[in-house]
Amino acid sequence: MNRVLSFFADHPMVGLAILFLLSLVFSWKLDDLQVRISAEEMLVQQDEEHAFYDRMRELFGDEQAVLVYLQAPRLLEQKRLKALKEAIGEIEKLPFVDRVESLFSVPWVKTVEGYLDKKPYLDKLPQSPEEEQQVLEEARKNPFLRNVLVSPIRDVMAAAIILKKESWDDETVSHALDEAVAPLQGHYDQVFTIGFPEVRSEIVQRIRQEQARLFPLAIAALLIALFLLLRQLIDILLPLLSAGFSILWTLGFMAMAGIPLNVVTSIIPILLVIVGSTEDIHLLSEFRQGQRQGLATREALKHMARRMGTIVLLTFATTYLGFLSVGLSRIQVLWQFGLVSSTGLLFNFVATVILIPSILSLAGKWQLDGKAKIYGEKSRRIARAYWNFLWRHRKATILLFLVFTLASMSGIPRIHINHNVIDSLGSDSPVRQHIDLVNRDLAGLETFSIVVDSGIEDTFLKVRYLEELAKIQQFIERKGWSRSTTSFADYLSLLNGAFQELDEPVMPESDDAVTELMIFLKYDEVKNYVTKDYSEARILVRHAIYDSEQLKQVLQELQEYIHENLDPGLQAHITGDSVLTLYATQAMIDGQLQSIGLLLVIIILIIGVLFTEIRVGLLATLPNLFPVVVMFGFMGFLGVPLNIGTTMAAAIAIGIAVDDTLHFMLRYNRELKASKSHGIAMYQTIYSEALPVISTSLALIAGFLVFLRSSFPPIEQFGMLGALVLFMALLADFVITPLAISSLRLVTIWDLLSLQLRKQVLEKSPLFEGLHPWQIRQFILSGSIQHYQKGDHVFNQGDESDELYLLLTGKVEACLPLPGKGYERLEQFSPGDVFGDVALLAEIPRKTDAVVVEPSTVLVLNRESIERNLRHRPRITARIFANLAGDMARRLIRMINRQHAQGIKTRRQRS
Amino acid sequence: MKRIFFLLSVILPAWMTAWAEAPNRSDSPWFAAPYTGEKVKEYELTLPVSRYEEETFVIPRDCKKLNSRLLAGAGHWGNRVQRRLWLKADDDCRYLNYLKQNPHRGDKDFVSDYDFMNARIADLPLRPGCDLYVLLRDPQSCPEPLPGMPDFTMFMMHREHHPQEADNDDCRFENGVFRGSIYPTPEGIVCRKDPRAPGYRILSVDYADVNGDGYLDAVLRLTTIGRRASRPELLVLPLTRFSANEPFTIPKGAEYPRMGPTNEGWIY
Repeated sequence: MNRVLSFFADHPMVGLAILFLLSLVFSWKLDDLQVRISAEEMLVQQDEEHAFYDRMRELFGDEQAVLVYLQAPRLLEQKRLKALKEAIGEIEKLPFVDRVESLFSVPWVKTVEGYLDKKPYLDKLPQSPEEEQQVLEEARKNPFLRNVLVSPIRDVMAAAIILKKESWDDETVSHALDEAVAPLQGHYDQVFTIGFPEVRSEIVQRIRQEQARLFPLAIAALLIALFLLLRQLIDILLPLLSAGFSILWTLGFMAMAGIPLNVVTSIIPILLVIVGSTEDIHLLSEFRQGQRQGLATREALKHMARRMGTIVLLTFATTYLGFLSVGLSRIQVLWQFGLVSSTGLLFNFVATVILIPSILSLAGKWQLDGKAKIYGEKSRRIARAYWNFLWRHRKATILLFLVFTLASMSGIPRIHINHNVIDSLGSDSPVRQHIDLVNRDLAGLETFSIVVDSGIEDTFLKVRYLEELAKIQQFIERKGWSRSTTSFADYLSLLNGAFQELDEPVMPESDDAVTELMIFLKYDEVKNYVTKDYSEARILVRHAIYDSEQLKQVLQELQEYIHENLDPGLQAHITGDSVLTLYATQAMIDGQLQSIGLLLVIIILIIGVLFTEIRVGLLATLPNLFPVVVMFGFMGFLGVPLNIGTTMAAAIAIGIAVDDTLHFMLRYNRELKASKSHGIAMYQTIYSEALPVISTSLALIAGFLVFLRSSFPPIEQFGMLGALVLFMALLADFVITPLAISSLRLVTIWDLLSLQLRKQVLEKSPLFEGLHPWQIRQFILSGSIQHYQKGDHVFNQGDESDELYLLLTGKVEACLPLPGKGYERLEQFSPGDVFGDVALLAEIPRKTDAVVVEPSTVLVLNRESIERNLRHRPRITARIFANLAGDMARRLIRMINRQHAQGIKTRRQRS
Repeated sequence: MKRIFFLLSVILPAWMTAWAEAPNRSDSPWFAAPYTGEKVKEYELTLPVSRYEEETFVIPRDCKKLNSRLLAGAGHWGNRVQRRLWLKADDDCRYLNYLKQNPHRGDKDFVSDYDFMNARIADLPLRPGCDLYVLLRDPQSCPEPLPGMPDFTMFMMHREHHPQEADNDDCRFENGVFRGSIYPTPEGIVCRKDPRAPGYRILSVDYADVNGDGYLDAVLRLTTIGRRASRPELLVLPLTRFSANEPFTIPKGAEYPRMGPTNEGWIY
């Protein structure tokens, strides 16, 4: 990544040309981008439940229709009916309309002089108010009309428009239907068309309006946040530019992939503006820091590339995975969102790594006034004071966080679920108000079906099995779950009632009576309720239960009832739009948990591998897990439901928040290497990361808060929760992260890989006997490497002994300074040898000088790092101490031997 | 001669009109069309005649064809509903055959002036042991009335209790419908109308000399109505009388043909 950044810094025009070309390619198909809302896309695709639903639709037809709601005191007054008939005629001419069911078409099943008469209720228009009332009363007795097309208690009726199977543009449908019913406005007190095309049309319109409204707001929020924190014109413009490129490319990608803008994917452009800016801010911040250190533009760019190249790649990867993990869902809109948003982020990353070095290379010198004074001495003092305070009160702080986390966790069981397309509309929406009227006066727009199957031909021509259908219907009605359940049993009852000249439908009493009735029935009349071989029957349940949890409970109770009470020869399966929506809810929750779980595992692995210890990965998840727990607790306490919008918030926010943790940890690692003191490294980290982390977090929070202006509750809640998670993550990054990592000596994988060690050094060194190369590298990296020139002193006699040295390259001699006579060489060390250990372990001042006789590289391990190793890597350290003891023993024996030889030599010389 | 032609030209159309207005004397009866239940003179029906073949019949035009297919065993093909449709078509053809079995129209007519759709219950040949239920299903099993006893009986088989108040005067069909109960008491026939009680509906009244005795007979087709009533095959009740003032009786030798195809006597 460093090379890529450096390349575009060196060749800015190439970078700009690539951006231009990519923009051309992606804008090519931009016209094909669709804005489409489909209920189908909110459901789980390609699973058994959906396959059963498709089969049910194939067998019995669709459940849903568009209703023309009509309300007036005398509903069947001639002048009104004439106007209505005309309007229905116009509706029937529309190319997308299959048929219209109304009192003009639904047969009034009765007998006239003993013969069956199935003429529609309004075959002849009523001539008097009494006749009107009679027709209305008769219609109200029909189970297929009561609460479906006629309100049993109010002056409300409806016409049901059944659309053709081919998919039509919702806006075209609703617009044409509105036009067709417009002439009725003067005739009825209230007239409107309502159905799922209307719901979807309103959503599409709102998406358009919101794009126009929220997009500038998001940009404004970002601009304000960037201006307040960075105060550099280019630094403010560059994130917007890279976001602009990535949005253009993403929309082009969506057009090419045939993915439409819908409730969920419509927020991606705004998210790209918000989330995409973080990498830019980090790069720019590092560039400006380089400039402030006095580097020229080119050097500052190299400094930026060196310091930030790998980090932005890593943080991009985690954010990318966060967004991609949303795509694990089996709900189409969510996997579309996961795919498009992660691709958008990839585009944004590409745009960033090309644009930032290219533009900075061309215009990096140009600054507004460089008013960002956060990197001053005062800030450093504040950072130090803050860290000292935090460290002093670490126990209280951890306790406070634990209490807060536990309190949040207690709210989690209170979370309720709601996943319904109608909930995308607020209560002020006219469409929502129309739905509420339909729910009040009729049976509601929602449906589910119970398919009862025997597997045996003619089953549902037997009263015993028809009664099974009726039993389920009665249970549903008794429970008050629905005001309209209809089945084949109802139709036969209707027919039987007519034949027996009764006032109401009555179930036939014998199988023979059923067969007798069947000869006066066209299969087409009941094809929505029973299969042609009469082995399977459907009970259609219309309802107004929009709350997913309530619906779940209803379906569970119904399932239990069916399980316990249905004839063992029959099997019942509940399916339908409502069931699939509920099933999608469960899939959404599973997907959410899966996404969060997988993301956390990936983060642990990435950070674990990056810092060569899984434990570090686990610690790094703490500041990211904490905001998620708080978010769920918040949802539970404030009654924010888990829905299509809120389900994404946690995974996305973790993906974003982990960036700051990574930046923090990598910075800390660097500072620790430089300062060798954890305290200094920590407040330096806080001081250095405060600006980029706080500015990106505040920009992100501001961006997410923009969604509060959305008129879709799920999106509004998504914005609120996203902002909350980011705020909590920011808090955690400056409280939990420092405390969690302050006791660690972080070793990055680059430290390990970039460490140049000759193999023989490792093999030869007595210190590392019995250790694996990997363990040796880990140990080595817990110290610091220092280079010495010939003649340098590593230490001097009398110095404080708090370090141990391992010679990696070169030669060092232990010498005893002789006053006025130079040095007496005691021992020479070659690569692999350890020195300085005796005084360190004895805790006495140095007894000799250590003089470099050849340019050397020395690994320095101080007392603190040895103790830290003892705590964190006890096995390695135990081995090292054993080796060290062995080495010391050998050196002692060598010394004794040498002294012994010296003694013999002296004695010989004397003698 | 001219006068004769003149008289013929005036009288013949008038007679023709009068004859035509007489209820269903010679034209075909009404049927309930399959699938729709509509009142029709003719209907088309497609039925399976083998595992893979279907045949369309226009009833009553194709009654003979239908009968021959039934004799060939085709009535067993099809599902439960189709098999029931074979029976319905056969039933309609049988009824038509019953009406047409005597090619001569009875000259002596004491029935067509009677308003059967509003028939008084007392005018029907009901008696103990021969209530309407038995009468409609197996008139031959009805015992002869006891000497000196009036024709009265219970009307309904499943009457559960005797109502306190009776409406003797109105004990009649009204527009083809009677709902209520009739039961014998020492004081005579007691009748009570109850619009919610089961009852009978007269579907049609056709006229033919079904036993060829020269007297025109009325043939009533009835069905049961009301809760707990079933609607089996139509019930056929032939009635005749030999003077305008006497009650109706079952014509002698006018047995209604039993169900199923026959190779005897197919006229139509």
